[in-house]
Amino acid sequence: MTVRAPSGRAPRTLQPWVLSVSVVLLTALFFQLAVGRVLDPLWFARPTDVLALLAQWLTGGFIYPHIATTLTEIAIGFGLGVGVAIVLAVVLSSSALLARITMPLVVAANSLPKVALIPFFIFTLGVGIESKVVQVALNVIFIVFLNLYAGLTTINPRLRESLALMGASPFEILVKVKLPASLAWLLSGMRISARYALAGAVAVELLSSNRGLGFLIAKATAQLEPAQLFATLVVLAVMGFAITYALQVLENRVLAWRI
Amino acid sequence: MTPPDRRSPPILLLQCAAAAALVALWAARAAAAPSMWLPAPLAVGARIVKWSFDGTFARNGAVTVIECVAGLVIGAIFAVLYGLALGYYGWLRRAIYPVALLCYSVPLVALAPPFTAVFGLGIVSKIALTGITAFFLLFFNVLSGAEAIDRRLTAILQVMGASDREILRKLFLPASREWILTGLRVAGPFSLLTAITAEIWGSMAGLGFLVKNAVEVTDMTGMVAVLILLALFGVALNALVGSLGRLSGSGNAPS
Repeated sequence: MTVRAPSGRAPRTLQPWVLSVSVVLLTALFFQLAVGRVLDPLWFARPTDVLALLAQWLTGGFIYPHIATTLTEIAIGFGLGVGVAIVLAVVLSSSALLARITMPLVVAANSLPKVALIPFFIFTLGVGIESKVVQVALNVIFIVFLNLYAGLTTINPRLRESLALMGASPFEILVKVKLPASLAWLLSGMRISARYALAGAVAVELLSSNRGLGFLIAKATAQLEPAQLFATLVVLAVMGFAITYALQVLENRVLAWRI
Repeated sequence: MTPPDRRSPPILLLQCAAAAALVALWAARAAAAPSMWLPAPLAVGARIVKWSFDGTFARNGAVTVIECVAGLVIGAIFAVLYGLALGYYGWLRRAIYPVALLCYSVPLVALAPPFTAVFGLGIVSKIALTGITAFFLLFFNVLSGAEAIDRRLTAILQVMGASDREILRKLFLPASREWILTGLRVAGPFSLLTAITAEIWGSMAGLGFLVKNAVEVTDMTGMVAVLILLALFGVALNALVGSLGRLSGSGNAPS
């Protein structure tokens, strides 16, 4: 035994991950023992069964088409929504009068819970990818728009004025001042709306689809397969975490110059 | 209330004109090419009046409101309990926080089918779902608020001989009111969204049920009528949670 130097790490402080991992393990152990005894195996699955199913899905390739479907819906809908939001924000922020006239309409439209349109979209657009894409885009548009609009309208007017004085055209001002200055707002709007995009895609898939992670949830519930249900929830958790993390990394990368 | 000087009459006039123009465009379009997909504004208006008076809106609206409010209250209670405990005890936060973050990454609407299967088609499954959604949204708010409390205040209270319980009750609990009220700005609309999704998935009453029912019998007039009511609902909800946040002021803000 060596004598611990006084500057060494205090022995009683645990690494944070040790605590988290033990919480997860204890919870898993509880469910492992409780399912079948206290908890109804009709609704709850043993963690070992869930893990085995996940391993089977990942090696057998069953899960990948479903992940790909949900990701495609989110990617297309997200791109569409962000694109429309940027155009709307640039147009409305260029005219104070136009903005003041239309803003109440935008706010009212934003107040409508977009999920209420799901039955209509399914009815008119079918069980395919289109109904999900539209729902995801709608969920994203307003959040990104309101964020970017706030960014565009809080730019220091002196920057704009001095460029105009130097003879810059409105387009040049837009590209060189307005958009770079409000990039942080756009990116944070995208990061916040990612959660709504995933929720929108899954909600429509639950109600009507033949592939995708939401479809798996609906199927597992209907067939009373709790292991499938929990395995899909794990996949969804990882996916949701990965999307948010990726957007956070993008945000940090792009905004690195600001320090 | 908006301050009167902010909105001069011409702007208000232009806003009304824009809204009127939209409705006129809608009416013209519906009159020019009558189809079941585009109900006329007058028909929608008549339906809104009819459903307002025969109790359809009142009955179903009350169900949705109860689901949202009960979920928010239950979620807020647990959010305060867990948020304060984790905000106060560092080791607990280090243990639970990553796990909570991972659970929060699941889109909670995905729980609508299992919750409906377990708790039934009634309001219990919806309250469970809005409750768990509200809990997560408010919990992170309370936690970040509790973390932001000036540690010198806790140190002073400790020097004065206060127990953990007293510090939590006298310092953290009063301050948490504000974090809950500001958190409601996000959690309120989100709980409405969750309740309606669950109602569309499977229910016997509620505004989401009404929308789904209208679409299933291709009653587009009814659908648009409910959507307009839902938009008004959303505006009212936003105004309410916004004023709650403002009412709380910054009187008991941490630091």
